[in-house]
Amino acid sequence: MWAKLRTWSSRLWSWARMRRTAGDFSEELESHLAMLTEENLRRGMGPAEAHRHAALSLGGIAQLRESHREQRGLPFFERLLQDLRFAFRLLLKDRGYTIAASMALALGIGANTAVFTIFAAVVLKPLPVPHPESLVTISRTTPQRPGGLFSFADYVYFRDNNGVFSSIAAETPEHLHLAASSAASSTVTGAEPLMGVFITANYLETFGLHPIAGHGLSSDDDFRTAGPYPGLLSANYFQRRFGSDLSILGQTLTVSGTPVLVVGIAPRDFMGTRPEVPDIWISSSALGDASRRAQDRTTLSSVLTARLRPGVSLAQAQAELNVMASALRNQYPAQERQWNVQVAKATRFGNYHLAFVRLYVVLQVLMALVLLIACTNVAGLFLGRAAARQREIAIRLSIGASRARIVRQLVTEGILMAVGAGLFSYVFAVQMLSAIGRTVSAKLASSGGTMAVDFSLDLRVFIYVLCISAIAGISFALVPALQSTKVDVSSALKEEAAGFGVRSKSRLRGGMIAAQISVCLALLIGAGLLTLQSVRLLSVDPGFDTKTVINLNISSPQELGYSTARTSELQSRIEERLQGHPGVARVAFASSIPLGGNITTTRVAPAEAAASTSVRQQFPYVYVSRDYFKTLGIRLRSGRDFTSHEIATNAPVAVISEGLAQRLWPGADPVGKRIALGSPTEVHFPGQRAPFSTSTEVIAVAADIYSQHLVSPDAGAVYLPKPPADWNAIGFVRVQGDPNAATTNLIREIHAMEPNLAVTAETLTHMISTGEATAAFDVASIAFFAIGLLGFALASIGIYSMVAYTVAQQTREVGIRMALGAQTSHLLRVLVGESARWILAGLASGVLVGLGLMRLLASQIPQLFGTPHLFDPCVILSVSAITGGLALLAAYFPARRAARLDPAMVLRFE
Amino acid sequence: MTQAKSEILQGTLDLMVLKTLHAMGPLHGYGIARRIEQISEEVLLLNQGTIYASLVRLQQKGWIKAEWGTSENNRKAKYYSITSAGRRQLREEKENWERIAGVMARVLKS
Repeated sequence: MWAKLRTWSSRLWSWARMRRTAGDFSEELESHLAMLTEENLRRGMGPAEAHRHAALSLGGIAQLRESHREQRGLPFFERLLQDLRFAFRLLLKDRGYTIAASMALALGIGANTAVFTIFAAVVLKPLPVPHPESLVTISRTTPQRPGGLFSFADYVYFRDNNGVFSSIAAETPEHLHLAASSAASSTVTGAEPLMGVFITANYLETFGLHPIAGHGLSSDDDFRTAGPYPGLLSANYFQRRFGSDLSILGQTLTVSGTPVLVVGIAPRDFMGTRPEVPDIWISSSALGDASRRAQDRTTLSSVLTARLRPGVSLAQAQAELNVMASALRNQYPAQERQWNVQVAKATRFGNYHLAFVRLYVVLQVLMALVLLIACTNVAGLFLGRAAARQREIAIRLSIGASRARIVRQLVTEGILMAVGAGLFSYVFAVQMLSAIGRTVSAKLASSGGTMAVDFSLDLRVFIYVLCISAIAGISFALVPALQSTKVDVSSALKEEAAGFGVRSKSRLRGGMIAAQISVCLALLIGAGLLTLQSVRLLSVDPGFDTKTVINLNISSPQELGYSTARTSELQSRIEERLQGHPGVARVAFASSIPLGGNITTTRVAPAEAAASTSVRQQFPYVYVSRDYFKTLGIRLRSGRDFTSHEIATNAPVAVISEGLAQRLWPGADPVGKRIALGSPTEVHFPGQRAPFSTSTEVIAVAADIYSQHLVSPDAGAVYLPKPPADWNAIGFVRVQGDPNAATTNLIREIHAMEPNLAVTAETLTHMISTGEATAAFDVASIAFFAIGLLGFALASIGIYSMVAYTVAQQTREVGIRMALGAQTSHLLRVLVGESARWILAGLASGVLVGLGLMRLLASQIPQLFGTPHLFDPCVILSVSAITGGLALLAAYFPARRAARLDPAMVLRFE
Repeated sequence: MTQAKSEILQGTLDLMVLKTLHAMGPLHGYGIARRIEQISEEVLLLNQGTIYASLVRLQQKGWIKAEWGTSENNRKAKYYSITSAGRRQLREEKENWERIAGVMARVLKS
């Protein structure tokens, strides 16, 4: 072992000073020769004779030198360096080709790296808490929904009766806002979005964490009945919003109208099982009286996280919860019967975890396809070059180079390019990741919360990239290398190029063209279908007017400390001023915005059947002012609008949507019938009005609208008269003329009355196109479109270069044919025709692969693609036609160039 | 067949070179070759160039070292000398060789 090491280090040392060692050795040999000659002279030989004998007994000087060199240095390494130098020179010589091929590879590898990095950052990382292995998430499962939430009553039951958890916590996330006048900063105007989570006092403790400043919640906090309610800021928000100024501890913030006392700061980047770092955790006592909530079995809003007792396995916990769930089902048969409980290891991103894994599978498949295009592409280029170097290879084979040696040379070229591309792709991936990171952060900034996924590349990912690039390099260089060294030396030397007749080689090239077109077409079909889907969504008529209606969001003056009387006085003044504003046609107010992402639901049933139905479905409800339907342009199918009197007296009347009417009384006219709404135990965040009525009269049926998402219209909706005392937070203004100019005027108008109110205004069109309802779809279609375009760019380069090489191979034959009188047009037909066969084959298989791909997508992300018109034949046909046309064009140009050559030139070139 | 033969020869050549340097002190390549030829009473006519492969091997193992010097005829030459590690190695190899030679002799005699 030691001797070996010594030998190698000595070799390395000599290799480093090879030139000197070689000179040394020559000198030594010379002196040896001289001594031998002298001796021979002494023995009486003539000078020439002496020299000849000396040389004979020493042996061949050149051989000695060569073997000495082998023995001294690192021959394998040296040959590798030689190969590398040669490869490098060749790649530099064909600069355009090198750039195209390595860019193609770099894009392919880079995209793969980015996807894997996100996967590693999100899925492979354990929760950043002590002992993540004993932390579990408990989900309520129903056949429709696997990752459901629990009611607070269920939570209390589990908490008080289980023997398997040392601690179990409930959380309820909510989009909130921080009042403008809160805490110090006077520079910020308007309410800020705030991502809040209502937690039980044992929440942080369950995760095994402690506040980094201040203190956590105490068990008494769970039973607070009046504000201010204690809360913890996330360290991220604490730094971003308050500049890490600890004087915020002990201050009271007004969060969506509720006073919250800041008692502590949670650890940096702690996000529980949420996809983002919330801004604030608030004691769940702020949601309402604890003893009342403990009775609430209908509001399913609690996410449960628990810590297993030491020694308790996941299976034991599951078994115990199964028993408890069946006890609950028996005890409360009025509730939904089919629910069950699932205990799973807590993961980052909680319920989103599975969705992420699925998305990753889909993206990774797509990325693998892109990499496949890139590799086929480069393999094609290598094949073309290898064919062009046929003669060189044949010469080297004939003067004694081994096949292995030549294959190694060609593979070295491939690896060199792949590793170069790998390095380039590293840069590309970093850029891509930071762009994704920026986009996600910007998205979060508009709704509160901080992104804490680390999108920087780590070593593991870099190794992954290098492996991919090395494997790709070897594979794409090996195939052509093996093929091109399989030549019959004598025939290759005699006549250089393969003619039209040599089938096997052209079949490989043709197959590569077909494969590239196939994969690229599959991606483009996917992109086309998704884009169409997204365009279709945005052009869906949601059932209300979006272009001329401006949505106003006005913060409550109670956050400024206004009395109720002053608030209601301001309210009527604002309404009046807006009505009188020039260009305003109508004004209405409501408790939520259709397609605004914030939906409130309640249980609805026909009044006569309410008591007997065990399962009552949840439907969205909204409180609206008098002119709501006219302002938004929602048609009333039958019946009448609310009267001023009904609004003022908070009368028990409702307008229901067509869909709901169909569900409650199929085929009958619902006007005049009565419905039951809500339940006495339903609780909501303070300030949010929840309907509860055993008998409300239906006075009209409104047309169905799309208020939750654009994929399908609402299954049903209930409109209730808005109590006059409720603050008009959400306004709708129908304007005449330019709505964009009107938005600024309206804000100015309100600020003229009360400068401290936070007001935002935007057209509904704008709100919808940037809102959550369409954002997910937009992101998906943009991503697929980008991938499709990327694939197409790669495939075009590939097709062009491959056809160009094919044609270049046939230059000689083209020349002969032309010399024999063939027409240019005929030659063009023959040349392009050959490529066209393969292009057609590629198109056909591409359509099949594309359809398969979309089927895979639809199965993985049903909520995004659960639409019936996914497979639009128009899109499939036109994308195929465009791809085929461009591919033919890519084949046409090099063919035309060949057909225009002067035959005399071509033949003389031989 | 020839391969196997040269392997054995190679090992013995190294041993001979070591012994020569041990016995004679620093010598140049030519001197070593001459000395081995003389000792073997010209029975072993070696291709003198092969001595250099052996010298490189021994050097790389650290058993001999080399230095430029001047020969008796005032010619620049590289002088090789045995190191202490080389002496140890020589002792081991010698014992080994004698043992094998003894065994061989006994086997062939019986």
